[in-house]
Amino acid sequence: MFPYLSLILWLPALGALALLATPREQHQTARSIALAVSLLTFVISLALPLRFNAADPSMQFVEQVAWIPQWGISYHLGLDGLSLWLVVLTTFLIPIALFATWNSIHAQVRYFQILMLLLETAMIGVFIALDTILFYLFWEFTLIPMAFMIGIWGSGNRIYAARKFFLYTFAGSVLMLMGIIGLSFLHRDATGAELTSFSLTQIMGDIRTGAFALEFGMEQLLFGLFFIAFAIKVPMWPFHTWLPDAHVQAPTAGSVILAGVLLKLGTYGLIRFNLSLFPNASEWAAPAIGILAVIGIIYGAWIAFAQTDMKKLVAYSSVSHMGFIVLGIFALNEIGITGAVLQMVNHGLSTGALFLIVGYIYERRHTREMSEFGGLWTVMPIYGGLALVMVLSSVGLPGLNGFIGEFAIMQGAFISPALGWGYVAVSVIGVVLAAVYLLRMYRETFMGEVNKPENAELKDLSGGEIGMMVALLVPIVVIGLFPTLFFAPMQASISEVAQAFRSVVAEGQ
Amino acid sequence: MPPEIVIPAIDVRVIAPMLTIFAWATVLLMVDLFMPGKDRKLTGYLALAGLAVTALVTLAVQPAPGTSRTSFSNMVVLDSFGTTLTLILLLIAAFSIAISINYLSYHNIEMGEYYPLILFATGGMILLGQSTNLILVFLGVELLSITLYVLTAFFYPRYTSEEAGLKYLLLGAFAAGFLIYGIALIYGGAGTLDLFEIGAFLNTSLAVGSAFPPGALLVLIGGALVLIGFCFKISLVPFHMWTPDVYEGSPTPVAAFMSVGTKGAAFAALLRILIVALLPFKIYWLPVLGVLATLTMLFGNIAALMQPNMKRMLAYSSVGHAGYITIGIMTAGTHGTESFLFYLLAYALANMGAFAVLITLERRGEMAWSVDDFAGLWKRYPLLAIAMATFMLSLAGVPPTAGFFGKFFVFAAAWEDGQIFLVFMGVLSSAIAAFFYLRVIMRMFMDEPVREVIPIFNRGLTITIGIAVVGTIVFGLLPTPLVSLVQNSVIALGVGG
Amino acid sequence: MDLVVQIMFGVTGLLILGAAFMVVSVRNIIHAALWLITCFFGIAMLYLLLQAEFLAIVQILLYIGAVAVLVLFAVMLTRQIDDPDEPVLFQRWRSTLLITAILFAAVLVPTIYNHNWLIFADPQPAFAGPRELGFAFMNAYLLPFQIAAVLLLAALVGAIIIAMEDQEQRRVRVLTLAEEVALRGEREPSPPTRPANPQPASSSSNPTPPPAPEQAGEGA
Repeated sequence: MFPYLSLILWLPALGALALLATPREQHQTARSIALAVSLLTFVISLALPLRFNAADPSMQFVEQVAWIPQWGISYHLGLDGLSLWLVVLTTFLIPIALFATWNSIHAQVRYFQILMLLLETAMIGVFIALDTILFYLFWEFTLIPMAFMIGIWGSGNRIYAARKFFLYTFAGSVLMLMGIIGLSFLHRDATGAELTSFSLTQIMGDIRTGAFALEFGMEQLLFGLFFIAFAIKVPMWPFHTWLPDAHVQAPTAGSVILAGVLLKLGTYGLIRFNLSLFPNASEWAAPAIGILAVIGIIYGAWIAFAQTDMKKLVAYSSVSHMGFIVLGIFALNEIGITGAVLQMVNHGLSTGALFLIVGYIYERRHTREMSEFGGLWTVMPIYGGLALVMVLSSVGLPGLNGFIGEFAIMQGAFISPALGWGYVAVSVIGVVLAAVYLLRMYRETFMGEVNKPENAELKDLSGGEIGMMVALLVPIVVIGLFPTLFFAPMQASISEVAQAFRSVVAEGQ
Repeated sequence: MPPEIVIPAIDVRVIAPMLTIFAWATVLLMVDLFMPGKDRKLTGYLALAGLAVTALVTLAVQPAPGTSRTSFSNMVVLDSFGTTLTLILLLIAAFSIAISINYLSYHNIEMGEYYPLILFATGGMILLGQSTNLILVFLGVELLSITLYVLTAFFYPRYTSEEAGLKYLLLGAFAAGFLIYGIALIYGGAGTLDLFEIGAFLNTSLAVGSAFPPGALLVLIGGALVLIGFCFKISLVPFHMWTPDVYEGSPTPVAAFMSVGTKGAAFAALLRILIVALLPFKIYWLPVLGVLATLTMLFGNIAALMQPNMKRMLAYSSVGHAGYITIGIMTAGTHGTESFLFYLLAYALANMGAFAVLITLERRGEMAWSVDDFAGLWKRYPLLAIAMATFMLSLAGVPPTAGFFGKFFVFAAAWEDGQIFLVFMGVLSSAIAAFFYLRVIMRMFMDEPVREVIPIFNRGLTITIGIAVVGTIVFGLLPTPLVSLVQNSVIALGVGG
Repeated sequence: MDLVVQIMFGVTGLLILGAAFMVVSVRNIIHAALWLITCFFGIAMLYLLLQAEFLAIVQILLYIGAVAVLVLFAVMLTRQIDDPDEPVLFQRWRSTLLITAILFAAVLVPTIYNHNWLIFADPQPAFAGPRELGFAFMNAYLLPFQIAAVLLLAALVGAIIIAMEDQEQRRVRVLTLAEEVALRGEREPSPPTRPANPQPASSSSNPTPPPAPEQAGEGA
């Protein structure tokens, strides 16, 4: 069988190596090579949904090679309905982000492209790794390129932001390392195996068959260790403080990737690890986490509403939107999780697009204060039109992608025994607030009179910029109109997660 | 009736590595005398050759895993643990000499005796790793300490170097006092200095009666004193006070050598004592070492946070790493031994590399290793900056570096032994440690230069940094061969077992 | 015969005590060192009386031949031998004496009280004479013996290195960066950056440290 996953995983890294060989001063060459490599990766990754067997809930495209056999650690890759769209989202957003830097990154271009490609490898690796140590390796490695991107090419208080980003996530992930170690040793002792196994599929399988049952206190501990790591990454309230700093200081491409993919690593981990490995603890913790998620929804929206800086506004809106995703996950039923996974993709697309929109205007005016703008619609009609669609997608207008995901999440939370209608009722306020702050931003910048002379002469979007927007627009509309296309492949895997969850919890009671 | 002089059957293979290195050092002392001119680089290269020969000898006598040889009235043992450790120590010594060769002449402190002294110290470390008798343990500690007192004070134009030598001597003598007193008490209690026999004595005397026999009590007190003596050598908090001053004052290659080599050898000896002799007392020393390890990790890393001086920062970081290694050895299980060796090698690569980078930036007549000198390094010397970043990440335990797997194995060994709280303290202090390692990286990559810095490169430094970077990353991505190596390194638990 | 031995024992003991007292009370340090030698001799005599000839010889060889001579040399190399202003006893000697005496008594009294004063009727043959010691060194303790030789060699080399004073450039005080910056600040107000390399193009054979006003030549 053709190793699709390895190819997609390592192609960007190889591209980064090739970039090292290019001359340092030839910026255009570096940009072209990086873009070509990332586009090629995207094209190859399109084979995944095409060859994906939607009826099969188990891992597909599996590759497994012994890596550290003495410890039962292997190079183990695989893809299921949960990770399928996230991988495609990653390969899709990277070329867009790279293209977005074409005119905005001028210093040390080659290194920027190298970091971007390394980051792509790391992020894909997180989604497809089926060995906990391999997962941890990729997970940690996403930190380094991102921190460097923020710290070197960021603006203003970039070093502070980079440090905060690195240390927050690192602190969380060392706790996860402890959890990974504990999980494998407990698994070894429970199953009586001679060697530890770090294979996620094996541990998960043993949990589902009941061969590996954790003591409840230990399960709570491990759940907590993993949860903190993922909650910081998501970021959930109250672990979110690194996010606005990182977003505001990061270059546009960095923000797009950060919001588009990096945050999804956290929610993906919550489903893949917390939900699948610790069902009892998940059920135990779901109400509390639901409350945190709802607080995050309202808090993020509230703070976003108070922002005058557009990028900060979008950053805080991420906190709010990610709260929805966590709420969907901890509804602990098929529909909630499905909605959450779809919303991860949606958020990646629409928030990525919003960051690009803010980035475009920032390149032209070098400010992101809303009060500096007004009436841009008349000056830049194409820009205004595209921005409107993206804002509406983020708000959750029916017919666009955001609506589908949010609706599924609400539905899931409503019927969930762990959460219930109270959570939905409060989080609906978040939806309303999202409409208020996003539309307010749109009104203040695009509507009304052109009241600043600097804005009168602004050029509308270039062909390339329109191309990027359109590229993002296509999936946004397609998901909105034909959600089944996207739901279908993930259905089997997510049902499996939810069913296994129910059976384990039922057994425990 | 006068006894005949009968020299007991001896197995030279058991002491072959240290015999080679001592002989080489002694001959090198004389060769150096007859060497013309003031240039002493050739002595350095000859010392490197000596280390290579010793490594070959070690490989030649390496026993099969699980088997061991003892000789000299069971005073030394040759087991695969010892030979693996010897190879690691030889690598450390080779790095130290490679980074010294130009350093000495550049700073005008070149003397040919430097290299034989390093070899003597290395021999002492090898002895520590192999000895199964407390007399030899003491002699090993003294051999490496006395040579290091001299090497610490080797930077004679600097007053701080002399001060460091004196400080190290005084505290070393203090530690030796604890050590020898403890050894005497153990002898008083157990009637033997042989580690195997002490272990057997404790097993029988503790098994007999429910009451605590007085002999065992003496051994317990003596063991505590021996532990304190070792704590000085491996600088566990609160016995670490000398570390930053001594590292700062001594010539940088010597600081590098001490930070890894001394620690490694002393830990190995301590591990052997704990496993072979004092295992019945695990209930006593486990909590003590646990508390010491926790204090060491937390204090070492927190103190390193405050340091603007890189050399002192690395000194405190080495204190912190001693804490992690302690976690590895205190489990006293097979995974503990493995994790100790793995961690030692990973730490050696990263730490020697970091000190080598420090040397490239060190200037004649100055003693400031300010973190400012690293600011903006990337813009002018990108490779040097990337190398330093690799070392910092490895020391912080971020994948994909060897340091990550080192930490992973240590924590895994501790969890397996049931020390969940220690694992938690370990990961917590890793998070703290990430702060200051990251600060160096940030200064290098994201800041503007503070002052003009012209690094000095030479062959020894470049090769050391190169090997360290490659090793750190390769073992970070593919630790498998190293894991096999350390898994085959077993501590002999009995005579000829 | 026995009486003679006992009288000699007592006299020797008094001699030792007296000599020890002189060590701590005389003002001239050289005299103190000489009294110390007397004290060591007395102890060697005690060993002889107890029929431990080997120990007595070792005592003379090591403590008088090596330690005391070392002390004498160290004292002679020190500049100030006799300082009439310096009090012989430091201020809190009474409390120190008390504490030390209590600590000493805490060990000694129970020992004396509990000790089984086993006095052999006839003198036992020496069980640790030089011959036995020699055999032990060449037999069971061969390796430690050899390692100790290596240790001594290393220590000797190290001592020579530390003590060697032949190089003309030794002990030239080198300024630290902080001192240099402070110095520079005195000379010229707030320099923006320091020059590229303070290293003058001096030859490698005669390296001069950066300009230092107080080149404290300490070596002879």
